[in-house]
Amino acid sequence: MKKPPARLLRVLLASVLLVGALAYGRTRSAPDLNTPVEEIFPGSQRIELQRGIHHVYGEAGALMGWVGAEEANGYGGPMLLVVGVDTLGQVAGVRVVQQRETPVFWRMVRAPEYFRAITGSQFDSIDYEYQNVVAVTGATISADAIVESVRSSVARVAGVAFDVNLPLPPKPFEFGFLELTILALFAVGIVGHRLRGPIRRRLRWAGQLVGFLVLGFWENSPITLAKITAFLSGYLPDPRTGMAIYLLLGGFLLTSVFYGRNLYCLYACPFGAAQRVVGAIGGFRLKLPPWVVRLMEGARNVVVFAALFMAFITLQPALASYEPFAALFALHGTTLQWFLLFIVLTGSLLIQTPWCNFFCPMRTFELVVLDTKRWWQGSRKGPPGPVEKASKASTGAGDQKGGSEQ
Amino acid sequence: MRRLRIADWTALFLGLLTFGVIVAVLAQNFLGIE
Repeated sequence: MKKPPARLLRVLLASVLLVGALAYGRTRSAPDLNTPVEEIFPGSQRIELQRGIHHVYGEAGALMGWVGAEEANGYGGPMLLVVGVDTLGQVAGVRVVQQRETPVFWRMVRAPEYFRAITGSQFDSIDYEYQNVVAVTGATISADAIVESVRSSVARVAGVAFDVNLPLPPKPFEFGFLELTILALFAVGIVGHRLRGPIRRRLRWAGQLVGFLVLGFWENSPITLAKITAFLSGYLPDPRTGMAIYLLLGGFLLTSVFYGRNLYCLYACPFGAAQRVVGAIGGFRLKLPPWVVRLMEGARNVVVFAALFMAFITLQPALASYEPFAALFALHGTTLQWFLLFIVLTGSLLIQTPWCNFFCPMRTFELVVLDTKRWWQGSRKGPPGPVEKASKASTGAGDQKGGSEQ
Repeated sequence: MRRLRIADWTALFLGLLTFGVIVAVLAQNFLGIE
């Protein structure tokens, strides 16, 4: 039986390696603007940055136009686009310099179509509305970031090159249905956690079904490894438009610390709900031998580490995402993601919530939080007493936690 | 007892298959292949 301190040491070692990977990713050179600018202005000879915009010169030093390069926050971090405006004031082209979106969602927004549609427009009469150009559902964060980046670049060029002030639309603080639902789910979780028996079971089903519909199908905003990786990489979403993820991660962390079990997984996770529904249909509950459980939990931790490591080194948080959530809730995914969804849901017929128990990265993060808390308490109180030892055994590797609170 | 063993192997097979697919999904993400 492995002792928690040894596990904590492994977490420490992993953290050091991950910080190193992130530091390496961060020191890599800044993105190259020359290639996209040459694509927008063929024949350009020289680019000069003056007053925040790039002035593009052609043969014999003739001014060809200007390029704005403003960032906006996408799903996986900052997105950088360049927008070229020619000397007549028309959009000469838009190119992506850097984006960190999940590949499936990036394909969904069909950015080149949007860029083609606004190319040729006069800078002060561009129809930015994404839906007017490309029918996109389910990738709104990426689409909004594209619009914001283009709009800011055009505004910057308009101000400097044409002395025209194009005000950017205000970003109101969004606190609506999704945010209220998240708060309500955690409230239900806290009440449920204090109760026992059938009421707790009913509350848990109610919470998960609401999570399934709202966090799943309606808003498609479960916690994902990509979102956590973006946070850890220092790419914090704008709280005015991304409050939901702060609430979800805050709730996850606080309930893990105060209740010893994160109530997100138990009461809100839409994918957990999907597996429980399938499991209820299947009716089987295979009890796996401890060595299989240990093997799979170890493999999951290694996979989570590898995904984080790669995401940090490349500074592409969205690439860490291996969950099949988008396939189920946005009905978009690669063949492999659909296959993964199929296996997990089929497995749910036989094994209780297999994704939660063996594959979900949230379980790894939860264990890290719980181990750290235990170590912190232990280091303050001295050697653990029998009650704590018992709780160690119950939260350590070897049991199936998904169904522990029924 | 025999039934349990078959169940174990089934679970292990499903688990390994799932991990294989997860690794393939990650490889697909990072290598940028379709």
